[in-house]
Amino acid sequence: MKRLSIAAISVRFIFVLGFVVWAFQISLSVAFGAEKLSESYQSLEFDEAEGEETSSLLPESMILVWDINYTIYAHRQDHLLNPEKTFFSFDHRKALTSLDLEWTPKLSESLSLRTREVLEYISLDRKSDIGITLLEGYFEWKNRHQDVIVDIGKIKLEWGSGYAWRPTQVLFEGDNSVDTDKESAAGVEMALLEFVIKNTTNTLLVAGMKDEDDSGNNNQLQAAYRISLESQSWELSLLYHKTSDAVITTGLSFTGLLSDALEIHGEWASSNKRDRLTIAKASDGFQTGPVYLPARYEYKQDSSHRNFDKMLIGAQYTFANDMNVIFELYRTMHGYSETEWQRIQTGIDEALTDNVWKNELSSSQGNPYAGFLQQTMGLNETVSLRQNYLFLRWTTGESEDLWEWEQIVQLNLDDYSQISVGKLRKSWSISTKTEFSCHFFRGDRYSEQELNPYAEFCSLSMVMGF
Amino acid sequence: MKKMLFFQIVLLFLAGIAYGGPTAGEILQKADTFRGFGENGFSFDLMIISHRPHKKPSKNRLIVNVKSQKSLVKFLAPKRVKGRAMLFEGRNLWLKIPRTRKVIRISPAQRLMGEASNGDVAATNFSLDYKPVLVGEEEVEGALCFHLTLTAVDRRVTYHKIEYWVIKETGKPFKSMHYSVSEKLLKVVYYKSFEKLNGQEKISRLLLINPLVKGNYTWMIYKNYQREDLGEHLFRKENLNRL
Repeated sequence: MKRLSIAAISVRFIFVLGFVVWAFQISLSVAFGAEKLSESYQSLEFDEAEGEETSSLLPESMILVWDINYTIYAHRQDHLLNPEKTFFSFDHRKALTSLDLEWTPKLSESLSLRTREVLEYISLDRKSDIGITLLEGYFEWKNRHQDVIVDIGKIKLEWGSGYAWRPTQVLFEGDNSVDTDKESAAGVEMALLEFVIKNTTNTLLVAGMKDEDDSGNNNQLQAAYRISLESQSWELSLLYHKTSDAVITTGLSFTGLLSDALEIHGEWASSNKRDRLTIAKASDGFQTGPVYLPARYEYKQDSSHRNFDKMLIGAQYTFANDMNVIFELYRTMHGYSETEWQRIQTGIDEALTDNVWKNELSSSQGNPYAGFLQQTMGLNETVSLRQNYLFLRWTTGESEDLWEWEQIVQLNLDDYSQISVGKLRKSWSISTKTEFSCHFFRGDRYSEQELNPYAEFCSLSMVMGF
Repeated sequence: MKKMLFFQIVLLFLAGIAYGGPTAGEILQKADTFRGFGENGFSFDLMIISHRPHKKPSKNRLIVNVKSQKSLVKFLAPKRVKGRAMLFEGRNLWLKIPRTRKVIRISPAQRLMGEASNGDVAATNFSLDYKPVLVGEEEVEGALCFHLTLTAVDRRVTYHKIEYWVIKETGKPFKSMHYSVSEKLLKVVYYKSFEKLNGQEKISRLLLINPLVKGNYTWMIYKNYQREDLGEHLFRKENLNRL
């Protein structure tokens, strides 16, 4: 009952707040909008000084953005997976400044170079670091009619129609996030051929694969074919993807317009391998001398021979006052079922029993109970641990003074834990924009978000374009 | 009664023969030549300056590529949105967000450039999007004009109906009033000035007025009209990441 109420209150809060703002703006338009055009604008003349352009230091092919960000984190005290703060120590402050350069020089009529690199300086509580990352760097050749295109180099591709999740984004798994307005992950080396036949766009590629720790490419390869068909207000894409270790994924995505204000989209992807480990009981509890060792759980490869599906359905509606709402329902069979989640909970309980995680137990990897807690913490890097989610995003649109409010709720429908995000943006000048945002992670004990080490974090960032 | 009806029909028929002037379609096509190069590929620079009472005007600078009913728009200013790009295919709108490779679909109702709607930026050819009917000749604000009523050919078009006044002597657009499906007046447009480019006159300034909010108006300044050999396949959403 309590779980339900947390979720319900959050969702209601969003809708009630949205309705109030909408009603307020509607009433404003009724009050002032009824005023008829009374002036004769025909006599209005253009002031030449207005049209003067502020010259940019950079050529058109170059986009340079300076980003300054300061974040304060609040971590959970007595975190279940980090008892007595033994395994992990978290930073509480992060200052980041970065220069993000996108440069796309045209080398000839048919050949161009496309690069994006980021120079970053990060200062944490205890250390600082500076580094430069090449996010993308590739050559692009296209024929005169632009119906055959070849790209070779380090490329980051975005496939899919979803907003918060993209099940058909198979090349860069685990890159889903509630923050979708900036990407900092690097691409992978690939050779890509794109060709157009009638109203279909076909993409064929061979690419390397990222290591799980994102440190670089390993020796594995992946290949994909995607066909995208456009007709009237609809677009449909079909996908086939295979890795060198025989993991096959097929998928489809679509978007369509039902009216000028209403867009709908959906995605489905099915894979013959699960994208995460499953959980199993490794041993029952037993007495060894004076010590009782509780039951032990471990993560292992899922050996079930079945397909794992991901599905998403969503819609976007724009109101007359520029307010925009995105709604998505997401189901992933890769996520942990109720039975598996019970096992994870029991595994945590058992590992914490009589502080057995502290005991000096010999195994090839140290104390297996401690190892289980640490591995479970590692799962948090995966965005969607469970199977069913709801996503709501509401933006006000830019006000006359260039303020904008964005509210996001990502609700886990299996345990009703949630991520709530509020963002306040303001454009101060033609080049400068600031954003203040706060993320809150809430849920009951043993829920997905309660296992998240963050309780909340807030950021202030300033972005300057050149 | 039947005789009266017969005479009325004959009179209407004779009036049509006697008029002998340009048809609604011809007037509209001629007016369109001042806004682009018909169905051929072309590009232009566009500055949008939006005014609101007691506010500093906001400016957007864009490069627009057009072919038939498709437009590709690249944002150059303000600097904070440089790199943003949009593809218009009738009502289908795709947006590329800078610093990502994400291309998302947006609905036509979403506004990204102040008072100027997405459709206002992309609209260069009324002949393809609207069916014209000649209402007659009228003097409007001191100019003798043909008055046309344009009705959208399908749902993909931004405005349901446009009342359009074209100067009789020159064929240049003079004024238009744009309506929604519910007959609500959404925009009033004055075609303020024209410039000769490569021997052809093109619109250089357009004034767009929001009739619902006093003091809200937008200037659209057109420059550098150029015929271009733009391939049909340039206008694909995949190309938004390749501009």
